[in-house]
Amino acid sequence: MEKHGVTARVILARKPDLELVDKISAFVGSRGCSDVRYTIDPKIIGGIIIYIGDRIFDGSVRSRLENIKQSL
Amino acid sequence: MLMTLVEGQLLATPLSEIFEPSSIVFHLIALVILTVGLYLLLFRPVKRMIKQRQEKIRKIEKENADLNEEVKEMKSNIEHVLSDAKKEAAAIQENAVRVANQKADDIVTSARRQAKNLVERTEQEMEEEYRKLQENIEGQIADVSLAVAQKVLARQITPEDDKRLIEESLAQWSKE
Repeated sequence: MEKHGVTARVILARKPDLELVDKISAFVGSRGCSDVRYTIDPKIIGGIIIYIGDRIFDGSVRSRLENIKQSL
Repeated sequence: MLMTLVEGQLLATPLSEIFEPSSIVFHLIALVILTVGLYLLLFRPVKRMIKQRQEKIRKIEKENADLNEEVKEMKSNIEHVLSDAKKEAAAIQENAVRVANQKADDIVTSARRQAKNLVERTEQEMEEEYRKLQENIEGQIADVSLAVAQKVLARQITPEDDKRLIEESLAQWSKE
């Protein structure tokens, strides 16, 4: 359960444009977060990772490749 | 007439003087006495001694016969014992051969079982090693493939592709 006032941590491979920032803010807002902290990490290759409290939303290319590796 | 030479003269003695009856009787009595004396003093002891010797000889012969009998019995017993010993030796040898053959069979069977177990264990170990090696190779292939894919994707993903991926993820998470 997400609570209001929680800061969401968002990791991206490159700097987002305004449209994407709005969509991300809308998503984390729907999860009860009032603040977003962005981190640029090229190691995730692409996609996005969002930490909200103890929940993790991992849509990065690196995690998808890891899943493929595990399935191999 | 009996002619006697006395001091160079030949004297003639009449037979009647020589065969005097009293003298004959005397000689006969002397002969009887001599015979009885010889019988009592010589013949009987000799006869008794011969009898004793004969008894002794019989006794010795009997002892010899007993000894011979005893020797025969001992010989028979020894032959019997030898025969039994030979039979026992043959039985022991046969038993030893049988036991040795049994032990040899047991050793061969055990060796075959051990060899079979060794082969099976070796095959299992080889199979396990092969499986581990295969997994290791597959892991290495996956690692290399992932590294190659990461490098390729890092170069080929455009900002537009990245944005589309992010939007798809946000849309999917919003449905949950």
